[in-house]
Amino acid sequence: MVMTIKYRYPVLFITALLLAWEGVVRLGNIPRWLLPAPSDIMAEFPQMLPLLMEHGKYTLLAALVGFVLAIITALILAVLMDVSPALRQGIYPLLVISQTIPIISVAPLFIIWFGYGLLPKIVVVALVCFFPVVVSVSQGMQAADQDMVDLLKVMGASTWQIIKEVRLPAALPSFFAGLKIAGTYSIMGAVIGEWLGASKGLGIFMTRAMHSYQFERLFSAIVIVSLLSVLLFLLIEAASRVLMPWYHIERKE
Amino acid sequence: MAKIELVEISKSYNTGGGALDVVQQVSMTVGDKQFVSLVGPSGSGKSTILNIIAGLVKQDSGRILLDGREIADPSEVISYMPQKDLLLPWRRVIDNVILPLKLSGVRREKAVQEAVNLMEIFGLKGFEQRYPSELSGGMRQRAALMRTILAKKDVLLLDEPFGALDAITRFKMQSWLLKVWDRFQRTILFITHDVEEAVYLSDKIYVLSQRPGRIKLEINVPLPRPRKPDIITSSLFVKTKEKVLKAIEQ
Repeated sequence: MVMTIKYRYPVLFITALLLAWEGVVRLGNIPRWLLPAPSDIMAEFPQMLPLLMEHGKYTLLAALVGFVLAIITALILAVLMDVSPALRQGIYPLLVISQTIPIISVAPLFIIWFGYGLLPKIVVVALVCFFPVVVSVSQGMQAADQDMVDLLKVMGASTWQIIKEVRLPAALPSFFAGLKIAGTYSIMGAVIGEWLGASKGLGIFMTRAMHSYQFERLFSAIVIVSLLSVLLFLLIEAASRVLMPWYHIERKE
Repeated sequence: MAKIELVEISKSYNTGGGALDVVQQVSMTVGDKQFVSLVGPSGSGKSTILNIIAGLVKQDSGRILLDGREIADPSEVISYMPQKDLLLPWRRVIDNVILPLKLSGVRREKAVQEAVNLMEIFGLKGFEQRYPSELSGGMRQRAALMRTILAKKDVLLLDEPFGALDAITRFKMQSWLLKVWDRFQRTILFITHDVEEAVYLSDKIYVLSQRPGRIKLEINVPLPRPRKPDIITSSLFVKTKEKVLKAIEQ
């Protein structure tokens, strides 16, 4: 089966890595409070699961809302930047500079401004996800075949028709590449947001586990964060297949 | 009245080292429902002339008359088929060919209905729902030509449409183009660097010189229509071809 061949090596490597970790902890007699072995984490995991699910709900909600908000604003801005070169030249440096601000330093401000609820987390997620999406869409639109644009002009197409028929579809592959990056950032962004102050969520769960040296709990939460990120990644991949069948046919996938 | 008339068109581009003259004092006329070819070596400004007529490039001097008058928006009269087929990879064949209709506001169902009836003539029946990447080179060119014709403009500008095809496919496509032209009755201005192709297809041929492109020869093709493929061995055909080749070599 194609599937088993495709997944054979990833599974092999992950298993090897876990075995090596287990071996180092056991042979090195590393105390549990310093670094738990995978088997310790797995033993703890089932009883932690209900609690993790409860916290995970909040993290996932913040991540998804922030992600969607970022996509919508990024698409609007990318189109505006495409229509107006002046806007593009003015905003692009700002976008890059915005990425140099350590989010961890401004996130506490959001808590002061927006309280301890969901909103500051959503803002953190949106800020983290916004950049990869806007850059990928904007560059994808710029890279559209100029000859195709010219052809549509000769057909009498309006600026908006050219964006809709050529520039946006041409940007789809790079849009999805950006989405994959942003999607994996989104869960992390929510966790960072919660880390700095929340009543519910995987981030606050992790801080509490840290403070009490319950590293099995911490690692259990990390497993959930990874699983959620991978799940989101796969969803984006599936969406790209539905929305760009032509792209996957071209690449014979 | 001429369908297309170029009066002393000139165009130069600014390059790093000064102005590069691409087209110089080019005058041509294409009559209604005529098939006219523009032949010349590469770099002789053939495509530039087409781009000027299509309104994509502005000439430095000279006038373009379409239907006897200067038109601000050539897309009212002209449908343009560039060298590359430029089918949109994200649209199925059927949605590619109806693109010009859709852009001008025709409802999709109505446009599709119109296109479906033509699929057979263009050899695309059964491929309506495929994506362009699933078609052969010849089929892609036919789809591109179908799109050009469905735009329903009087004048077709075809820029080396068969340049990228192999010799056999190419010859088939030429004969097929004559049939299509006969059926749809449009004015065609055709660019090629293949002299035989020009003689086989055209009523009239213009020969362009090396850069800067100037008209070296204007010749009417005295071959009767409809033309069968075996016409290319007739002495009249060979003589016409020789005249054109001589003009190119001069």
